[in-house]
Amino acid sequence: MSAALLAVEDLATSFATDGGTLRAVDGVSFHVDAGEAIGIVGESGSGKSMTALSILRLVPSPGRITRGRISLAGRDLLGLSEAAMRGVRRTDIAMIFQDAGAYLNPVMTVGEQIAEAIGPARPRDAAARARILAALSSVQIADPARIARAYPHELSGGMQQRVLIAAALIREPRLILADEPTTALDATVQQQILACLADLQQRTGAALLLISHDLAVVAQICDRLHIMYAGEIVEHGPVREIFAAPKHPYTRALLDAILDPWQPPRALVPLDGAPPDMAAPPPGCRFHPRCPQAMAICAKTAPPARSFGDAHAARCWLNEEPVP
Amino acid sequence: MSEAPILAAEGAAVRFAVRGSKKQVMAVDGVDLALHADETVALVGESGSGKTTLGLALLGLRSLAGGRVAWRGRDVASLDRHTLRRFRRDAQIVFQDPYASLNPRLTIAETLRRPLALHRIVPADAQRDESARLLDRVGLQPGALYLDRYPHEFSGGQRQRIAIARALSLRPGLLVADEPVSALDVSIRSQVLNLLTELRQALGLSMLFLSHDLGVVRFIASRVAVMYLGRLVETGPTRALFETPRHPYTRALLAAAPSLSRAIAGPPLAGEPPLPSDPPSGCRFRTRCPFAKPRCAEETPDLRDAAAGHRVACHFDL
Repeated sequence: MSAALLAVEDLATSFATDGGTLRAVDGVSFHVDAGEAIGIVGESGSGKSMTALSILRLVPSPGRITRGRISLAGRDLLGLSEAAMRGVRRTDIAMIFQDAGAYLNPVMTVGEQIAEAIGPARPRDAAARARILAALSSVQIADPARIARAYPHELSGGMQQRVLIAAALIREPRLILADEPTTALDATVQQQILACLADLQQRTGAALLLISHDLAVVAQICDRLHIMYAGEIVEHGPVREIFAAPKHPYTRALLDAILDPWQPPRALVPLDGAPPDMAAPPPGCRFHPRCPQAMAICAKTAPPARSFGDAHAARCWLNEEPVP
Repeated sequence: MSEAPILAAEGAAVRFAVRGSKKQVMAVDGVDLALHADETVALVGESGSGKTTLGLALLGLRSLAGGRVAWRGRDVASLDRHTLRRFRRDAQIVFQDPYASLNPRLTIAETLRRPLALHRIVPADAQRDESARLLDRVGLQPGALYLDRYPHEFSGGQRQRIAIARALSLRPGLLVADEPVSALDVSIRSQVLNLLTELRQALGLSMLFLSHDLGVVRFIASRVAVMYLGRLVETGPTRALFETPRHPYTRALLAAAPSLSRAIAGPPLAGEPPLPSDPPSGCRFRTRCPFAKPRCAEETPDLRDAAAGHRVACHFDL
């Protein structure tokens, strides 16, 4: 068995609030192998972004990781000193977020910011300069010399996201962590950025963890999917298997909600209600109040995980035979 | 049917001054668009296309630099006070962000009461019952239970329902919905789309639906208009437009839409939309168009008939 590049085991992240403890992430386990692209899909409040921030140990106060293990290439990230963790964020994990403009320094040129990502090298140093231009070219920026001299506000959202990707990847990270990287972008630009990410991931051999609310986006460039609901992974498996044979009613509902512009429209059968308040999640299966197939047991006991083949698993009582 | 459309833009143009510059942006440039009784027209475009500006101009909320907006055959710019009031009542809007469009300091009862009182829809002593009925109508049942709450007590989907109830309170004939489901999670989005469809049919509303999401547009619209940098590039019945898109930009938008029925889309469209303050000469799409010819830089293509009810602004039959 090849060791996973990133292994997350039984991760729990909570926030102490006036309304009680909010369990944003509750017992999440998954792994990413070297060179692999995996996706985490969930709606707002599902805990997907908090999972990413937990991996980076950047959970905002008053949140904290209360349980679990996170290891990157065998190193226990939760046991590292803050200084060592900064090193991990600097060299091993590249982070790409939704609002690229917010992560670029408005008073530094693009070239200076990428130079800063390289480290102590001066941007005027010929070798560093060549490296900066190569990084900009690698994200399909046609005129890297001009863009290197530009300030972030002179760039469009799509261009800012490319610059952020170039800066993130220049240190050749082993893992790219992208949280809704295309959500703020227009469709034609979203497609460019996704293609760019997929291409870079394949060329550099880095692993990709893509987090999105959009199942169709994740499906385009990921090998495996994880579906999160109310702080838990309810189903995970290879993209094709999940699309062909989802094993959790929530996954099915998400698939049913996709409106495909290439297909004649069909009736939408929406889920009732809304995701639960994570300070007081429902007992048993957290999805049961909205589940069209809920049974008596679902309100009492959380369902076990059941595997379907090597890599596909789901937590739902409907998969248990006989139904308890 | 020779009846005048409920709402129509005729050669409508909206200009914005650019701060600190003598430049002007033609956010909307010579657009013809009609909304007839009982139809849902989707206006599709990316950011900067001018669709929101056009939507606001159609409601009389942006002054025109050219052309006119006609409401049931009458020029909106020259309505007398009384008729203007009727227009304002007849034409309502629902915005994208239900977190920004409801006053956080007003209870839902107060939010719904104000338009009812301003336009004297029902007598003062019936306003509360009417508000509760409106909430029932948008699926917040029983409405009376929600009246004394504040917006922060509601989820995004519920707030959008409240915004829809407020729009319906004046019993409008037409609704402009500006990206009404873009801020909602997918499972909630389906609920709101079904609600809008059901209300439209039950109340005989005409709807102008502004969206960048082609999947949503195909679901909800009977007719589609595609906008790029302030101009319409293609209009047609929904089915025809999706099955035989004629403008290269429409095709590119479709190719860029995530789909389950195809593997990864074709090569993405190169480049990004030019700045609206500095649009290309001739056809505005030519800088990104894979089929552009010299003629495209010189002549601006007008919308022309390509098939029944299907119009395209391109010099070529592609």
